[in-house]
Amino acid sequence: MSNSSDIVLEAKNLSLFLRLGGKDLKVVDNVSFRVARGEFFALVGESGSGKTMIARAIMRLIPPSRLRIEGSLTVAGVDVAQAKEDVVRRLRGKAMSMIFQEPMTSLNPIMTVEEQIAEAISTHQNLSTAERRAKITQLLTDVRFADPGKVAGQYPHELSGGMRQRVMIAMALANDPALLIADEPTTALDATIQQSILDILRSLQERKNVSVFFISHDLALVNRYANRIGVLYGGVLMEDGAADDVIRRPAHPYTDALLSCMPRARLFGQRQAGIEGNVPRVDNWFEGCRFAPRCAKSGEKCSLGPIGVAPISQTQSARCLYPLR
Amino acid sequence: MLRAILLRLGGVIPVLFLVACGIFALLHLAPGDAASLLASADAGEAEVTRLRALWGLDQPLHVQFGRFLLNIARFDFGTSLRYQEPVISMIGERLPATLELAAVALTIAAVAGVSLGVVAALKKGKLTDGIVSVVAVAGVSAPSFWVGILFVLLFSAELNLLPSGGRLPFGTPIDGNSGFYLFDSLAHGQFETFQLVLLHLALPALTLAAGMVGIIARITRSALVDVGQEDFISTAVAKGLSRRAIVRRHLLPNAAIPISTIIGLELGVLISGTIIVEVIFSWPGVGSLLYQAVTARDTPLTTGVVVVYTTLFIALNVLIDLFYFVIDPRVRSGAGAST
Amino acid sequence: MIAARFLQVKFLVGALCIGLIALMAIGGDFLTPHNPDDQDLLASLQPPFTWEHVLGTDQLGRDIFARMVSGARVSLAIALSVVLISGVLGVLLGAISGYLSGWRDVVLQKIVETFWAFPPILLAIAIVALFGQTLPNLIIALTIQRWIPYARLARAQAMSLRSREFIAASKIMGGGTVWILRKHVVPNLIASAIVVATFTMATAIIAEASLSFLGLGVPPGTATWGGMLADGRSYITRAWWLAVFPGVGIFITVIGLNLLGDWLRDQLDPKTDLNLV
Repeated sequence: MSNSSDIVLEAKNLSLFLRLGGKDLKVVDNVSFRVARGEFFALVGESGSGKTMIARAIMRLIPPSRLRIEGSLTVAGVDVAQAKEDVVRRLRGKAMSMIFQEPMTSLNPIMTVEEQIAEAISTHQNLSTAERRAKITQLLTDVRFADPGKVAGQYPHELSGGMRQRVMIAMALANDPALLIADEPTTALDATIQQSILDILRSLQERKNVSVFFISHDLALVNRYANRIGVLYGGVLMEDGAADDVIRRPAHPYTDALLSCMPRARLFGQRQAGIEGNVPRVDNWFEGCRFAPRCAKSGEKCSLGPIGVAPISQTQSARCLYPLR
Repeated sequence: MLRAILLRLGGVIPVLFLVACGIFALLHLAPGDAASLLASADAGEAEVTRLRALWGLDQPLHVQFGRFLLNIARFDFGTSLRYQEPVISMIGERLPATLELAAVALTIAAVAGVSLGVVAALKKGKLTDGIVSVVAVAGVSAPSFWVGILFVLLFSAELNLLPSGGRLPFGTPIDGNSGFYLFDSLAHGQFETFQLVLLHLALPALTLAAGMVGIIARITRSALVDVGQEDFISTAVAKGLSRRAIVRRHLLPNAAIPISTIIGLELGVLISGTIIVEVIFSWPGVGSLLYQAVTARDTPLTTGVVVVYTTLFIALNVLIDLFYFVIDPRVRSGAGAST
Repeated sequence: MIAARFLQVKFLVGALCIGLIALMAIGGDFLTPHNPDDQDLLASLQPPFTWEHVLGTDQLGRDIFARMVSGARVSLAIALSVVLISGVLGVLLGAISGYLSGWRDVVLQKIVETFWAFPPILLAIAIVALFGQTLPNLIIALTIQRWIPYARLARAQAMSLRSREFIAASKIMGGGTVWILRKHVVPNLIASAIVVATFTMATAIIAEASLSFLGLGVPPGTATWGGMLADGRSYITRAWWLAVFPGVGIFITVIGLNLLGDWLRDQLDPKTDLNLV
C-alpha cells in the first residue's frame, strides 16, 4: 500500500483480554487494520463488539493490571502494547489524542476552557503566555466558535453539549497530533449537532492532515465522512474496506444485514426492522464465526474454527467463507 | 453572584427566628413557675416582682415572646442566678477560649483527615487503605470523654509529657486582651508563654480532633475515588498529564467540594464536642460554663449559652456555604452545586 | 484483593462485637456472682484480672463487671427505644410529607431545618436540664433530633415514587393514599432505613453515655457506662480500670454497630474501582 511512515495506527493480530481476578476475558479477537496519515477510518460495531476497548487500548487508558494486550498495536512507530508507561504518556496529547462520548462530563467543571486547553499545550510545548493565548484563540476558531475570546473565559457548565464537544476537539488538536481517536463523540448529541461535529472533524482532518479513528455504532452517520470503514462484531473485524465499497458493495453478510436495517430507505430501498437473533455475550464467545447463528448465508464450515481473511479487492476484505462478492 | 450570597445570608433570619421560637417554647413548657426559673432560690419578693416585670411574665404570651425576642437580639439574657453577673459578659469572657480550642482542633482534624484520605485513596485496595479505614472507624466509635481520659492517663499521669487541665499554669504572664492566647502571646513576643499555651492546647485539641479525623479521612477517600471515576479524569489522562498533575489539578480541587461538605457536617460534632472536652480538661470556655449552668439549675445562664452555641453553629454553616462560592464556579453563576 | 476480604471482615468483626455486648447484657447474670450495687468497702479499688473481680472494683467495692452488665442493659435498652421511636416517627413524617407535598411538606421542611439548626447534644442537655431528669425525658431528649435522617430518607423516596407510573396506575385502581404509602413507599425504604438505624443507634449510645457522663442521663442509682466513666475520672491515677473498662464497653458496642452499618451499606451500593491509570 504505502510505506510505513505513512501508517499512523496499525493493529496486527490484536487481541485484548480483561483481567478479571483469575480468569482473563477475551474482548477483542485477532483484529488487524491500518490507518494511514490523514485518513478518516470509522470502526463500526454494536455494543459488546469491543470497539470501545480498542479505542481505550490505543491510548492505554486501561492499565496493564486490568488489560492484557496480545499482538501489536503501533502508534506513530511505537508499539503501545509493549511500551512502558512513561513512553506512552509522552505520546498522549501529542502524537495521539482522544475525544470521548459524553461531552457533558468530559471537561473539568471548575476550570475555564482556556485553562484546560492551556494545560494541554503546556504539557507538551513551551510557549510564552501570549503565544499560548494566540494558539488557543486559533484552535477555538478552527472549531468554528464565532467568539473565541468569550468562550475561552467560560466554564463548561455555561456551554451546551455541542459546544463542549467542540472545545474537546480543539483541545485534542492543540499539539498537532498525527492521530485523533474519537470514541462515539456524537452519540450523546442531537442529530443536527452530530452532523456539524462530523463536518468539523472532516474539515480539520483535511486541513491539518490528521488521521481520525472514529468509533461508532451508526453506519449511516459515518457514511459520508469516512475514507475507510471497519465493521466489528463479537470482537472480530468482519469487514474492512474503502467506505464506498463497504456501504454500496458490502462483502460480509453482517454488513449487509446492518445496512438493510438503517433508516435511510431512500438510499437502500427496503428497510428491515432488525436482524434476527442476539449478539453473543462477551463471556459466551464460541468458536467459529460469531455471526453464523444469525447469518442467512452460513454453512457447516462456518462454526468449525477461526475464519480467515478473504481479500475481496485491493481495498476491501472480509472474514467470511461465503462473502457476498 | 452577589444576589445568591445575599439570599443565603437572608435565609438565616427565618431559621434564627424559628430557633428563638423553639427556645421560647421550651422555656415555657418547662415545669415550674417562670419567675422561679428566672430568680434564684433565695430572692426576695421585690426581686421576683422586678424580674416578672422585666420579662413581662404577667403579660399575654405574645408580648412575652416579643420581649424575649428583643432581649435575645440584644444578647441580653439577664443575670446568672449562681454567679450574679450578666450572662452575656460571662459568656463573652469565655468564648475566645472555646473558639481557640475549636479552631485548633478543626485544623488538626482537617489536615490529618485529608492527608490520611489521600493516602488511602492512592493506595486503594492495599494494606494502607485497610489500616486507614480501621483507624477511621475506631476514631468515630470512641467516645470523646473516654479518649480524653485515656490521653490524660497516658500523657499526663504516666509519661508526664503534657498538662491535663487549664489553658495556662496559674500565674503565667500573658499580655493582650483578645482572649485568644495563641495570638496574644505571639503578638507580644512572649514565646515561653506561647509554648505553654500550645502544650495546654495539645490534649484537649487532640481529643476533640480524634472524633472528626476518621470521618474526614473516609469522605476524602471516597470523594477522591468518586472524582477519579469521572470522565474528565480520562480526558486529563488522554492529554498526557502525569499522575501527580492529575491529582493536584483535577482530582483534589474537585474533591474539595464534597470534602468541604463533610467538614461542614462535622461542625456540629465539633461544637458539641467542646462541651465534654472542656469539662474533662477544665477548660475555661463556654462548654464548661454550660455544664456549670445546668448543674446549678441556672436557667438564664443555660438559655444564654444555648442561644450563643446555636448562633455560632448557624453562622459557621453559613460560612461553609459561602465557601462554596469560592471553590465552585457553578455555584457562583447560580447553576447550583454538584453535590 | 484486600478490599473484598475486608468487606467480610467488617461483618465478622461487627457481628462479633455486637454479639459480645448482647451476650453480656442478656446473660450477664450468669457470668458473675456479684450485684451491681453490692458495696464492700473492704474490697474497694481492687485491681482487675483476678478470679474474684474480673474487672476490679470501684471506690465503694462494687464489682465493675457486674456494673458493666447493668450499664450494657441500660444503654442498649435506651438506644433501641430511641432508634425505634425516632425511626417510626421520622419515616412516617417524611413519607407523608414527601408524598403529599404542598404546604404540609413545606411545614415539615421548616421544622426539620429548625431542629437541625441546633448543634447535636445541646438540645438534649437543655431538655433534661429544663424538664427534669427522668427516663421519659431522656428518651425524648435523645429522639428530638434523631428522627430527622429517617424523615429525609423517607421524604426523598416518597417524592421519587410519587412521580412513578405505577403509583398513577394504583390510583386508577382506586388505592387510597394510606394504602399506597403502606404498599409501595414504605417497603422500598426498609433497607436504607436499617442502615440509618444502625448508625443512629451508635450515635444514640454515645449521646446517652455523654449525658450520663455529665450527670444528666438516667436518674442516678442505676449503673451506666457514662456514669461509671464520670466516677472513674477522679480515680484515674490510682485505679485506671474504673474509667477504662466502661469506655471499652461503649467502644466495642459502637464500633460493632458502625462496622455492621458500613457492611450493610456496602451491600446496597457497591463502588467500582479507581479509574486513575
